[in-house]
Amino acid sequence: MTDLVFDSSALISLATNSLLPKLEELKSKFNGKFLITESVKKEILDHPLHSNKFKFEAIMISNLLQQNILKLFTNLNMEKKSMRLLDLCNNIFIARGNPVKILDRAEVEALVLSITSNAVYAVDERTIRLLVEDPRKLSQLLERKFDTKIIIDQKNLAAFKSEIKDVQIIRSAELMAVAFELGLFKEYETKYLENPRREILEGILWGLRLRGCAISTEEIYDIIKLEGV
Amino acid sequence: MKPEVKGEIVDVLKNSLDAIRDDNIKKLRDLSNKIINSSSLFQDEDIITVAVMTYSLSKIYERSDYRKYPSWNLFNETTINSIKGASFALQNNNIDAFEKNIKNILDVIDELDNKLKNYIKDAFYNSQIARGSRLHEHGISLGRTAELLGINQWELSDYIGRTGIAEVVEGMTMKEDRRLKIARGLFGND
Repeated sequence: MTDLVFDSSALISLATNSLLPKLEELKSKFNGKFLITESVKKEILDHPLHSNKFKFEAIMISNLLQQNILKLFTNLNMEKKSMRLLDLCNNIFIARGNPVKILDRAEVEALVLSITSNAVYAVDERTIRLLVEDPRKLSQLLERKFDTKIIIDQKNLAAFKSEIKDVQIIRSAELMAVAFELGLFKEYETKYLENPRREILEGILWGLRLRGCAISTEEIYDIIKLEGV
Repeated sequence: MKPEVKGEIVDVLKNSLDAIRDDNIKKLRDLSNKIINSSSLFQDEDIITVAVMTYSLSKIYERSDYRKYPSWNLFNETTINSIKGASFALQNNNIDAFEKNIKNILDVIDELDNKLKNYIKDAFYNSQIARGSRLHEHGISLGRTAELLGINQWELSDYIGRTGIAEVVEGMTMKEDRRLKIARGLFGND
């Protein structure tokens, strides 16, 4: 049984696309737990509850927590490990003699929870995915954007790699693609659509992308091709 | 404050002053873009504030219709005097006076006519998100960017989704069939 740990970015994309009910339906087909950390809760619930624009999305998330669809994971021992890993992450890439601070605590805390609970990490945010899966590409991106040589602190990178082991990452896009495969969007296959299945999947993936999921056009059409619609 | 940060802020303030005097909006925007690089690298609160302020001013000064409001002159004169004061203070290593001058620009907004006040407040708020998007584009995570600018990650996600940030070639790390397989595996749908 594998759990799924959510970063704020994936939940934000799902919430702003009105896809939280699909998360609830997915949970009924899932043997593990959907977990969030305390820092992620602050970002997806506490902060927007005090704003007007995303208040209702936050209320919907609070309902998922209330129903135990999303489970808040609290463990004081995790804080020390998260802070150590955050410090490592933020001291890997050096530009003009300065370490580039690339991540924040909530992102790393969710990563630590994924590692310690052997869970899959759901994150739409680009930087942490790049750091975990291909730090060289992140270095190339930083080098291009900063227009300066980036030096990688190999010792810190090795320590980071050894901490994260082989953690696996998915995005809200893949999660919803699976929901699509499982027939959770069947109700939308109306006579008004020329090619309902393709249009629905395209609509879901573009909606997620346009509200923050870091997925490229090429990847969107790869998913559509893989789904054979 | 690091000497290179100080030097860059002074340079941007001096050039911003010239740009405002010459009504050169493009120059103001270019200055804000130029300073984004150092904002991402040094993540110093003052340089980020100046980057947001310069961008906001480019948005405000490009709207010639704002100048018809009776309190426009108050805003314009306060802005010019405060930038001048901030630049002078920083050159003399007086960080407190520098920050006080920058704060003057924000404080004067509350003294403006209602409509102008709202327009300018909106311009500053939207500029925070727009500049945040540029920081993220430089490789700083969403969470870290939101933290640095004191903005909401929800607003930032909404904005960056409409940019081309997700299209850059460095952003693709795993073939889609592999990632989809991981997701399918979670639900026994492999």
